[in-house]
Amino acid sequence: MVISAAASGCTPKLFKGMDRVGSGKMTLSDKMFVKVDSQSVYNMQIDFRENSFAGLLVVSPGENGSLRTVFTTYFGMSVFDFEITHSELVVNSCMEQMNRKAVLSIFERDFRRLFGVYPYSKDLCKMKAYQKGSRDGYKVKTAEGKVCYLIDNEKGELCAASTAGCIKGADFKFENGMKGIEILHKKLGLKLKLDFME
Amino acid sequence: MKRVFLFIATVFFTVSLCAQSLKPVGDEAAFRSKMQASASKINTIQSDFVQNKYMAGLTTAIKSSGKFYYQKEDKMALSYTKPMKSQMVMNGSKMMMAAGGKRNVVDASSNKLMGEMKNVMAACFTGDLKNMSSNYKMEFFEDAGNYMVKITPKDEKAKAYVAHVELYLDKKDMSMSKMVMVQPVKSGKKTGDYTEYVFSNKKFNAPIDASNFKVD
Repeated sequence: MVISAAASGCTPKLFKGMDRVGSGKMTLSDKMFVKVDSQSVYNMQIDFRENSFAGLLVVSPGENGSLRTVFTTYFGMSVFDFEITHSELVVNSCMEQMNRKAVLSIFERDFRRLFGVYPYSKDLCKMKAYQKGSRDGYKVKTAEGKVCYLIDNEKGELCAASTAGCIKGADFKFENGMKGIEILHKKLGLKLKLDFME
Repeated sequence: MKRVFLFIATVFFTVSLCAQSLKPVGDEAAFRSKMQASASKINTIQSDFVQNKYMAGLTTAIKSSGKFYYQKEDKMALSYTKPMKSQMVMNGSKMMMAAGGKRNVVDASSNKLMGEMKNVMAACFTGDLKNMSSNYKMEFFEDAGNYMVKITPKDEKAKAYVAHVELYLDKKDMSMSKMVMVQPVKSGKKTGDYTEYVFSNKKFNAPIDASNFKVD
């Protein structure tokens, strides 16, 4: 990672109160994602405006770094079944009401950011670094846009992230050792809440 | 999300393949009569259940469990305790799904498809097939310990969600021991995903607290 003196700029909301300490290039670290080594089950609640829907999200590593994500109702019905590869989203099945390009792209983006299925994860990305106490912040310019990561160095884990964009933007919050995850799309009125179960 | 979406979202499950040892029932009329006679003696059913959802490519099944309740003629409830507390209740024409402190109630009386699906679900969970419409093909099989009723939708729309349902009835008391729902096979795959419900600790005709069927 190359650190150099950086020109001043706007501090992202996520890094409020933090000091800008440098800029340069970096590769995205494993700490910036939720690791999926084996099949994991989350309780996922989707709140969209006044509506709410919950079920089980099963996340399973696939071949060549891909990710299988299956969302079912508690009662056993599959809501969606996606395979996220480095280059595409493969829709194995999806309920008709959710099978819209805009909806699918939201899930794809969110899961890519959350679980780190990126084609460019090994590439060097431009970044600005921030710091306060035990927390480090990184504003990274990726191929899909700017992403901010807030890392707690004491715990060695990601505590929050955010992505820019009016419609595409989302705020990620993590708690309980990254077992509790909240993804908020403020402009859309959409919230996904994931709680790790097994 | 629309109520119809939520209702339909919970109606369909997946079914699995039947055992290789099963053979067609010799006397279908006699079997139907026996099944109906057994169902007519049952006013209530309570049991434990385990739900396992099997999907190609997943290393382990997605497991849930809880309590099943049925009261003649039109009350049925699945109360899940693991991995999350949730409930699906059918009471009359209404169907309620509750989870995480939130409830959704759908009235099936205004929608023919929903009404039909409600009858199918009730028939599947109780083994009482008299209300099954002609939109379903039924085949009957047996092995040493069980009868198996295979229910296949004829309607193309229904077929998109369910390939077929298998009901396994214990020959000892004609009670349902297992139900399996199979999803249609997707292109490139050899078998459909399926969900099985295994029932145990069954109690018949014991009183059931009405709160188990509350929808409002």
